[in-house]
Amino acid sequence: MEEYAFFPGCIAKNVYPGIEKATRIVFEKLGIGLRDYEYSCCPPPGVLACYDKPSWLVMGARNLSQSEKDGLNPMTVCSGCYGTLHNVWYALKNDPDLMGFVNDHLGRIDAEYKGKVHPIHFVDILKNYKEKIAELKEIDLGLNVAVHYGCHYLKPSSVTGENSERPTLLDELVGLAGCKAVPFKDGLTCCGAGGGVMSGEPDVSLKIINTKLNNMKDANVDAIVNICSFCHMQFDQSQKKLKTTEIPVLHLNQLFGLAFGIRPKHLALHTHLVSTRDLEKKLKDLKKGGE
Amino acid sequence: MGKSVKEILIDGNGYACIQCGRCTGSCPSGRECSLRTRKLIHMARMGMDVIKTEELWDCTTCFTCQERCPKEVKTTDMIIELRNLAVEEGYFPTMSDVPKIIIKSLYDTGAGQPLSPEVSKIRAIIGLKKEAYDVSTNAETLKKFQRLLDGLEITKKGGLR
Amino acid sequence: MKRIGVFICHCGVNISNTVDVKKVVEEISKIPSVVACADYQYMCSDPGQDMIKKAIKENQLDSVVVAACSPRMHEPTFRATVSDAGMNPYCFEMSNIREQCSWVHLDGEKATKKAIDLVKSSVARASLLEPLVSQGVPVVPKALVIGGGIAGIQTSLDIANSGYKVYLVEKEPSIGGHMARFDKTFPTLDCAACILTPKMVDVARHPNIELLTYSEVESIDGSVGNFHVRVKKNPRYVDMEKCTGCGSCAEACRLAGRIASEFDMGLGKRGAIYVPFPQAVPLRYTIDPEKCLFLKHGKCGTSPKCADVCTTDAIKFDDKPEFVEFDVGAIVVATGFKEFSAELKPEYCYDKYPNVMTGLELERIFAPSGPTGGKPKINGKEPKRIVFISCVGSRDKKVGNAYCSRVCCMYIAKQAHLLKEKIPDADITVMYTDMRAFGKGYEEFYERVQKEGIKYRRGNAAEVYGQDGKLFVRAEDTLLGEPYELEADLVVLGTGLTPNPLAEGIGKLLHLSLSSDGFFLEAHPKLRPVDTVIDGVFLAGVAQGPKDIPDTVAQASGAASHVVNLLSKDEIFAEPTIAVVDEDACVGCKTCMLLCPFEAHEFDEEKGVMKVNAALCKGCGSCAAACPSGSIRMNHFTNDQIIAQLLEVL
Repeated sequence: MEEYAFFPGCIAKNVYPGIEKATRIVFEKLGIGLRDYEYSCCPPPGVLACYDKPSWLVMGARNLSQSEKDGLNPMTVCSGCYGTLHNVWYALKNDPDLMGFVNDHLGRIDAEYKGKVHPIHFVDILKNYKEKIAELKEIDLGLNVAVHYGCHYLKPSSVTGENSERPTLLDELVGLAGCKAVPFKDGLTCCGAGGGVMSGEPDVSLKIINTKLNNMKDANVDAIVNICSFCHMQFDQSQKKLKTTEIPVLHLNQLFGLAFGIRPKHLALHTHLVSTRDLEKKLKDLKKGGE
Repeated sequence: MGKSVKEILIDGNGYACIQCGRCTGSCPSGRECSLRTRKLIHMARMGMDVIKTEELWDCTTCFTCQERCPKEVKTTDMIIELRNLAVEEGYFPTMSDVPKIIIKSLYDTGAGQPLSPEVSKIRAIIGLKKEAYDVSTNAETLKKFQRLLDGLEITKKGGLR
Repeated sequence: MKRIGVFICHCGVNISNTVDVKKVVEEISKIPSVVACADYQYMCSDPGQDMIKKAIKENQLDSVVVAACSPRMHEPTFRATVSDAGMNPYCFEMSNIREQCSWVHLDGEKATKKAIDLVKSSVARASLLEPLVSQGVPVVPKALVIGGGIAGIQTSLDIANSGYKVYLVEKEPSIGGHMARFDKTFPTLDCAACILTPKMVDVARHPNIELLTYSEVESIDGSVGNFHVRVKKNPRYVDMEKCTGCGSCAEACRLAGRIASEFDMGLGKRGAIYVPFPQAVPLRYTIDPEKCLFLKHGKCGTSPKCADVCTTDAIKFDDKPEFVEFDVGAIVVATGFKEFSAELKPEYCYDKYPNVMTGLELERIFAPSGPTGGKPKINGKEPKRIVFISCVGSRDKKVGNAYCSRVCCMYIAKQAHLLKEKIPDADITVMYTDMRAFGKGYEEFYERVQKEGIKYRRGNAAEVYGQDGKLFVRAEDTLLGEPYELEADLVVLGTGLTPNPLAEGIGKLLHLSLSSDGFFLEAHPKLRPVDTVIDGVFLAGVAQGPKDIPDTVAQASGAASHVVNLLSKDEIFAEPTIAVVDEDACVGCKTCMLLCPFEAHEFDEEKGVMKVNAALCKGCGSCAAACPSGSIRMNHFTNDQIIAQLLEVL
């Protein structure tokens, strides 16, 4: 069985547990194993990397080292975690001196990172399971959605190898759940949360997300689909603060959970700040129509 | 000790900058505030006090500028390095307590975003363990983690020692 | 023991500021074989050279060492000097104590010591140098010019006008190149066709020019003075002798107006039988074998219409490629460029919106013979808000083009002017990185277009996006330090010039090197800009690097003068510093043959050994270094000479 080390990240564990739950369900249904480890916070690329980069590297490397003995690559459901772990991995891979520095610190707690496992973003696993996802789909969700690729999954492309100007993966993936990715203005811009701006400069952060939310609203979407717990939190929490839009926010794994017929409550949709009630009603009608 | 402004410029390819402004024009944050990425690079090259500017902290590190730069200047990487230098030199123009709170939480629980009793309840309702399995599950592991942090600068910067 | 003279140059203060020249003289004078040693302010000056000549005669010198700058600069000078004094020029040795010593060191004492070591090693080599004699090779008084754009046209005319035969090979059905696509030329606004077509006609009529269009160079053998060339003439499926260029076939073609015209950058349409543009030279029709129904499917309605209407019976569906072979003494490479592929900058959405176009496309929109009859219309409407974006694909390492394309600033200014002239109420903005108006009359033109109302905003465009059928451009006005957006009906990308990928094959045939920008490398960036390192092969136009029309024409004439200079000689003398095979030791393993970048090694079947073609060998030494039996000797760089030189510095 294909297996990964599951790196849920703080938000999916401690703020939006529906994301952790949805991930476990979706991956179980797909027959992909997830193993838990004694992970810490990634730590965040914004706050930590900007305050003390060496500490960020060491903590990131500690996380990476956890599953090395089992040879399992850590999988993230948050592009912030992915950004950290992937950038740490990339930096260490290309710099033996830095690797030495990191391991000097890890040695203090009898840990070591050899660079043998590398982080992987969950969508890069799902993209190999398109047929299986289509098979598992019980409900054609029929939603018009705004897909949010976010930043650190795509960029910097010199590190990620992704097409940062014209990505298509999420458009394809939501299509598997019977959803249509509706184009909207500035579809690829940042949610405004990263880099410590959400906490340090909340006004700026809210202005960025406000513009983005209004662009999504102009495109008449039923929901926002994201692949990052941190963006997810920004989309959900900021709408509560701004009160200019009310677009339900779904992590891609929650969307697949719904398509696989999982009850919204089991995906903790009721705990989102932006109500998903209209969305759930729509799905219920769909289910009835299907029966 | 971190890098000097000059080292940051050299490592980030900053001397290749032609001030074309494609970075600022691409910046989602600059549209909403006074961040001008191009100007930060210019200030750094002119030996001005770039680390004292508040705009340095408006960048969301989305990497669009770095992606679009025709001269392969690592703008975002440089901003992160400049912030490190600013912290080292004691310039926190927008410094709220948030980073310190996050660092403290990280030290105490291993999580930047700690678990609240409400969410713990939700976890149980939706069929997850009340607390996720992580660095704090095993007291011994958490102690080791804290030992790791004790030897790093971040605890000093977070006001923990 | 050989009698050696050593002469140390101060190079003004370039050397003497760091190196203690007197001390070098003092040390070198102690070497027993050095019978004359002196220093001088400028060794390359007339008095300096006279000093060497005098010393050769007075001291009966066998060898001379000059310690000065790089041999790239003055080795030819001093070889001529010693030759004048009756010494064999290959008994001269140069020691570089400027680039390799005084310019790169700060510590005078250490630099002086290094200079002494360098000169000592040169003396060691000089004592083993042997006289060498160049061999003369007769020159074929004809030239090959590859590429029929303005560079190739000018070169061909200049050579032909000097009385030498020229073969001009062009891969397209017509000569004219990119310039034929332009409407007006900056900064004088001359009509491109008006100044180009007379030259094209001159080429066609010139008794000394043999024009081979729709043709490709297949192979080139031989070397300077004696190249053997084989050219493939692609089948046009039209008899060049019978076709009168009347055009009734093109009108009759079933596919008329249905195939994207390459000449019009895909904006205009042509048929399967076509001429690229009305002033084509030769004005003879060509059938596109990829598109023609009859050639592809063996059937075109009941009968091919072109053949039906042709009154001279010129259609020749059974046409075959022809091969022509000839000898030339010199070759000019004038293969031009390719416009930068704008889809490589996805943020500008060139592939997404038809009203984002490239500079070359806009040229065709302006051209009276172009797809819109010279009227600037986009989707049938006159654009009113127009944004130009500079440096698209230039000064851009991300797409691998670090260089400035040198023409875009000015063609943008010209195009902005032409748009303003045709649409007086148009609002035109140029987003630029830096303004480069360096040519004659360019700065004045830049000023003129601003007076005409063109807005120049410093700061290049970050992205183009479409929304609700509208087009927007985002940028920072870097002078204001403010990001802004402009709505545009038309966005023109100032696409740069990139190396012509079709020239790659030519480069390989001729063993030409490329500079880091991908264009052909000249022999010296300043003093030999039209030569290549391959004797007898010259460069003209953008093939060597981006340039505008005046610079292209100047370089083309320069290349022609070098060709004429070469062809005017009865014979030429090749450098004798080549590889020589010791036939007794050679086992015929052919390792050298595989390694030689110049194909100078041949296998002698009869003797079972290798031999070196003296005219092809460039003396690079790859073969000698690799020869397993050690049977290849490099003239002027023998093992003994090199080892003696090394021992002195080790």
